[in-house]
Amino acid sequence: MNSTKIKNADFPLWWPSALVKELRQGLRTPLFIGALCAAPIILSIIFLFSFIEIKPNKGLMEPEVCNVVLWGLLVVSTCVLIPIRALGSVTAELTSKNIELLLLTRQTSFRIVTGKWISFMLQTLLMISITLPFIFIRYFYGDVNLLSDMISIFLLFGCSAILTAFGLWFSGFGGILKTLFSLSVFSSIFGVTFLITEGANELANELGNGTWDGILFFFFIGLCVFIVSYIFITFARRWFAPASENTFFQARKLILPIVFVALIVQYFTVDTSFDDFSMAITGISLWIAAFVAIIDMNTPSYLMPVHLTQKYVAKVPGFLKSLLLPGFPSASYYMAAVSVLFGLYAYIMMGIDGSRCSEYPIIYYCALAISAWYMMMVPALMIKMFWKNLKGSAPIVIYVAISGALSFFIGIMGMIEFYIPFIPGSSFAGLMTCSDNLTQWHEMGGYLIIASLMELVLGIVLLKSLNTEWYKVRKPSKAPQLSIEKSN
Amino acid sequence: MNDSVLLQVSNLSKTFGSLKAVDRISFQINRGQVVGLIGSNGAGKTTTMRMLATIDPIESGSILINGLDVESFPEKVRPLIGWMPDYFHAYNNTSVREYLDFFARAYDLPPSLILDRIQEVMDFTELTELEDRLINKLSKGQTQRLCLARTLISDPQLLILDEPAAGLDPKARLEFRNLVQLLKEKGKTMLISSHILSELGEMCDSLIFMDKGQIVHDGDKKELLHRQDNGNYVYEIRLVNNVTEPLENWLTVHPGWSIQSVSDGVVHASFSANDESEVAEQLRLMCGELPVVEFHHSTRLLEEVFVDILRDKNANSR
Repeated sequence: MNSTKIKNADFPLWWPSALVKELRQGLRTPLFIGALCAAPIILSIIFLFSFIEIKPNKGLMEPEVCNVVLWGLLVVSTCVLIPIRALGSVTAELTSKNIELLLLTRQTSFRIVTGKWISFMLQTLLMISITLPFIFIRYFYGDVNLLSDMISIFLLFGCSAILTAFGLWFSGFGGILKTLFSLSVFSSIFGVTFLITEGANELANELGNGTWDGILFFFFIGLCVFIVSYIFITFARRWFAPASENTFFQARKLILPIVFVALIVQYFTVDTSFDDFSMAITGISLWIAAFVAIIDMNTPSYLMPVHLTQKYVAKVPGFLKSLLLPGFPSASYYMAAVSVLFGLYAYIMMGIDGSRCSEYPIIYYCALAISAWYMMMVPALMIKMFWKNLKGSAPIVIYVAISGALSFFIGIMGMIEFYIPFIPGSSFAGLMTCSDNLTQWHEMGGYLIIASLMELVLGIVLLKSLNTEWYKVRKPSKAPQLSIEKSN
Repeated sequence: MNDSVLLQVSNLSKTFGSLKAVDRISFQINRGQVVGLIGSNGAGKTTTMRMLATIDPIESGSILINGLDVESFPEKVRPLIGWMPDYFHAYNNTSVREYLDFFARAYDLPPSLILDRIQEVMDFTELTELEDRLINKLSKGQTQRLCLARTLISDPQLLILDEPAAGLDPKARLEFRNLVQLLKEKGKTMLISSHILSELGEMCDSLIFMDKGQIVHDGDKKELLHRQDNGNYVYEIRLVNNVTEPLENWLTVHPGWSIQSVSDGVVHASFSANDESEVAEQLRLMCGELPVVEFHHSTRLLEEVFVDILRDKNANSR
């Protein structure tokens, strides 16, 4: 072997490969280098001008201008530039087909995508850190709240984390959707700025008062950022994951227990000071769970025998396995679980008081859950028949279009209080209309319950008949690979 | 499964729409063997290799690598495979060393071994002098060596090389062939595909011909090159002063011999038996009666063999 002197590594050898690669590439891009150089230069000039007095107690630049430029640069660099860069990162891997080489390594899709995301977050931190001196210089202006500033940076980082994860997911889609994402990111600048300033002030007030509300709220925001980012990262993984990898397991396994726990907390905090807070948490987590269900039902996936032998599925109780496998029926079962939780949420929200009684019978909430499941599942099931002909984001786009059209039609029918069974969403709309009108419930309740039950039967029949291959694979396998697994 | 068999493919099939890209093929590769996979464009070589490398799912059939089924245990099989595809896309702002470092980390090599391993593969593929060059600035030949280095970084048992010499100039092709020869001497098992028959003929022990998704021939290279289409070996025989008439007369009167052609003082003749002892007896008789100066197997061009095999296949299918 050549006796050439071995070079030292530029990054610690124990750092993950994806992170090291993304940092090496990301830190060298002209855009990032330009932003890293330009930001302190611009801020230095502006802040210098603010200290040059042209009149007593009046600088060449107003302090408010310095604040706007500082926070504007921070928001643009962390919540616009970084997510936009994330938008191109997955595309490059997919078009170059380098992902195929990575599949042969020990790189899982989780490590690849997480490495990219962490790399972008480190770059975000770098951008924030170079502006920190200027944040502290502002105290010479007076009337600056350190706590509020730190919370603003925390919220900024959280927004950047979510938008970057969202960008990673969207970067695998086609050009139009990516353009829409870019536009939405630009237009969200104002929303992000508002959120950060108002949210920071609110949190600072709560924490300054020393109440637990502020700490809980702080924790809640951090948890939301983690969950939402994790889910988008899980979606982004699907661009990289081989067919044998079950990418549906993680997100569903995470969100279902969270919703369940949130419901329990909400049940026990009814009519207490935490009522609104716990209701908000449960509502948001249910939305996230439903969002995951819709995406999963519109993501082409097929059950393979290897999914059944994978160890982490084997450790899950049998009845839960059905919720956590690839394939449409699993996504449908997961949607059913979310619908049941939604029914429970409605039960807790709609009128139970200290006596833990509702004005509506239990059958109402059961029908609500069934009709919600049917409403979400059936359009996706119809689209599923064309999966082999649809590519990329087409199933999701078609689903949104169909849902929009159905909502419009049902809205018109709702005006004349005519709810047609078997049309997805019709029974659900009728039940929701009755939710604040007990009289209407007494008039139409029987009809809506029967409609829901009929939809349940039809939904099950459609699910079984249009997914025979999935059920065939799902049966306990007697394939040799299981005996090989045991003998090993 | 025999311990000496590293790769076993059974009834492998893959369809794309109405096109049967791979049609029930079966073959096996022993440890230390270098096998060439030959076929024209669209024969199914790359599709086969992608399934072997676990990149594409199998439609039907099975692939066992070191006794492990690739569908049931992909995570155990992948570390055994080094796959070099027929494409290369460079990462931006990445040097040769950084590229190899990335893959070394990606393969989860122990941190204490990463630097040594990178240096080892760079030395083997003669990339050490180029370690700081950006990979998008490399020539085609340098790129192929980099791809080979990447493939070797994890020290896999089975190397699957898809058209490794495609697009290389003769010098680069020769360099690459030398590297393959060195790997062969190290005992690596390799499956190499190409539609350039001559280069595979030099590198490989065994050859598999594919056509329209099917294997039309699978056998030892030497036997393939020496055997004629009637199954018999042809010999090139030359006498002193390049006279041919005495030899032609001798071959005519001795049973089992059939003269194929005569040119430039050399007689090409096939013998009806391939048993070496019988051929040796004929040679002894010949040398006893004629001044023989040259007697050896006639080596056919691989292209001729390939065409003959395809012709036979088409004739049989009618």
